[in-house]
Amino acid sequence: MRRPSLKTTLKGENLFLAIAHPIRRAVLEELAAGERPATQLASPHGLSASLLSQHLKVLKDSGLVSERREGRNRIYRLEAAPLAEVSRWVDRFSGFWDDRLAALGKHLLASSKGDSK
Amino acid sequence: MKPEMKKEAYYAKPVTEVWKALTDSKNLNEWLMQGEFKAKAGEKFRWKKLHGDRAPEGEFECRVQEVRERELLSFQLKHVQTGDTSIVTWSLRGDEDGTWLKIEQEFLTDDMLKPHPNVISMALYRQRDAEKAWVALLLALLTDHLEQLIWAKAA
Repeated sequence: MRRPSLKTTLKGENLFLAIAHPIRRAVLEELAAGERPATQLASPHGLSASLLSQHLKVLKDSGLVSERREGRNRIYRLEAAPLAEVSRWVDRFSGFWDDRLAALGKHLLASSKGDSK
Repeated sequence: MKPEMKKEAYYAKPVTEVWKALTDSKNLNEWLMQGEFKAKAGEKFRWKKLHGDRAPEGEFECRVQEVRERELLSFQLKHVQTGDTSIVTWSLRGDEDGTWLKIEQEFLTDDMLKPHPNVISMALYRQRDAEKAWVALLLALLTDHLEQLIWAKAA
């Protein structure tokens, strides 16, 4: 199964627009640490709620950021779908190497028994 | 460059024996994979199958990168069907009773490598830093894009 490419996962030119503004880059960096409500995103930059919501709209349009409601809050998160694919690949190898390191131990034991015969 | 995954094991065997198990085709066929191997930088092999229930399926192209006798062995593993590529490094440290063996694996992502080879290092990341690396990559892509615009204007 092919992993979706950058092109299909992200919405093309909007991506460049999304990261062209320093405030939006700062917001992305904050979201990289975990999801945040809008109120927390505005305060470090001294932004008004309306200005922040304009920036968040650009980020949402790019597909980089998603939004959900939780009571009166809107929660934003970074969408890293292409990387989730990579993580699965890494997990797969991790289990494989655990098994192989054990298999190597057995192999080393067996081969030295063979030598002493 | 930060390794993606790291594991360590101790074997009560001399380093020469462990090195042999890691580098000799016949030994490797018994515990790791089905295919050829020779510990010489630049050599390429086809691994038809990795052993074990939890092995990633499919064939792998293995290309030896660095060999330091009884100390270090690194090779690139490329999944033939998907093109997914990683670099595996074995490091060995022997003491009088046995051998510490460390394995590290760095994952490169195909999609990120193709359009922008100059940001290869950013596509190498640890799982927990994946999202940060993602942002870093986007910033690098933006920089490239802006540079291209500037050159286009200047031309």
